[in-house]
Amino acid sequence: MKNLFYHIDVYSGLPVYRQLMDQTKHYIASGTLLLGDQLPSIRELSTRLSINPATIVKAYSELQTSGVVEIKQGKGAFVAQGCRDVQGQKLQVGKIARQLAVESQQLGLELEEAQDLLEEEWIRLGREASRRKGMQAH
Amino acid sequence: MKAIETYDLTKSFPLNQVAVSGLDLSLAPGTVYGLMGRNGAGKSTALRLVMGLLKPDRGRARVLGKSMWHADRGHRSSIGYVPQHQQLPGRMSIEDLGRYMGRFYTDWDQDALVRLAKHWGMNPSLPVGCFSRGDQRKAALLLAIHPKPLVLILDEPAAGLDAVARRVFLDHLIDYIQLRPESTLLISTHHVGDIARIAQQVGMMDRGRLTRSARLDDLQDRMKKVQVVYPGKTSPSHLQLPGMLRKESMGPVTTAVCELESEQILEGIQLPHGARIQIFPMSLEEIFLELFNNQQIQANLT
Repeated sequence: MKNLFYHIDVYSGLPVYRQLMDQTKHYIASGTLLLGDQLPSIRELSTRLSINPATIVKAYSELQTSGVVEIKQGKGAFVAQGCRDVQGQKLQVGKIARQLAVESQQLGLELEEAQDLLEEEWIRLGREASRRKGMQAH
Repeated sequence: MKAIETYDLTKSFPLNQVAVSGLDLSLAPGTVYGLMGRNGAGKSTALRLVMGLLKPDRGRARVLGKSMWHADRGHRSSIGYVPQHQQLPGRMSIEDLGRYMGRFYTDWDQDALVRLAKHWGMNPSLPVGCFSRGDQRKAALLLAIHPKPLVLILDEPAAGLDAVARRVFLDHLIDYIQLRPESTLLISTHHVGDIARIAQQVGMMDRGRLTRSARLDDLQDRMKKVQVVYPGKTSPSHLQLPGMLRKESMGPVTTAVCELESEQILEGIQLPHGARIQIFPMSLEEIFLELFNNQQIQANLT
């Protein structure tokens, strides 16, 4: 099991279970978590983050519903095979894209400038992932 | 069976002060419920009514299916309560208090209590009067949870504790929830951060009434700040948004606080050409302040 760092901001308006979901998805997208990897146990995470275990149960089961995670009874939660729900993912990214478009326009950015920023982040994630793969190979 | 259930629970004190009015609560087993409200909102009175320490003028309260006013010792032993201003007898140690309390329980494990007190960093043979404030609250919690109650009622359990002591206290509570996920917790507190960490449901009390009871993550998902930026120099005054609680305008910018079923609902809004709409999340503190303020505005109108 990897010792993942989760950061929970209880004062943010985002429900804690959503913060856990988002960070888990981020770890998968950046290659920190790989297919079949085990997520931290509910008890461990609840103690470490000082949050109600039910919140973690909710995050994991929502991740299971969207196919990102598989919960094996008595063993724990694992990154799942079918972590791709293309329709749902597009919907979710679409929302963020909309936000990005609105903010970029309000700040007076050109479309190309916003696209460049997205591309930069895209490349950075790829670099992080391949660096990690390199480290694991050693 | 509900773990805690109240119906039309009402209590007034002399000089016609209504402390609790028409309180309906219903907590399923395994729920952690945070009761919030300003000082004097009636939280403590509500909890005392639930515990059967006060007799209601009207209505009823049941814990694990029975009224605490008539509960026998067996029933009471499955319910733990830590009142707001609990003073443990200062000359007694945790060992003494354990021996005393043990008489009311059939399966009191004194050795385990002593072990747990040490594990929590307290000397079980020292008079609790020598303890720091944080440790006194911890001792009260320890004695309340040691018999492994199915229902635990805590009235401002961490009030007056510093940040470190408060976190330690919360961690012990989380340990207990891990150990006994089937137990039900009813906690009154002012502390938004504590609520966010442990409560699944929140209730808000204002002048004796429960004005709102909801799942915490529902509230966070639904409460949003919506900003509309109009072209030109002013905002029209007629803006109506779904679930709008409040709005204010500054020049061409109107900011509204809305409770939205979903964000998509705003896509059908007709806005003048060139106006832009943007949705912002709200912090938990803002959400509570908005809901409390809104109640007050409504109360002033009625």
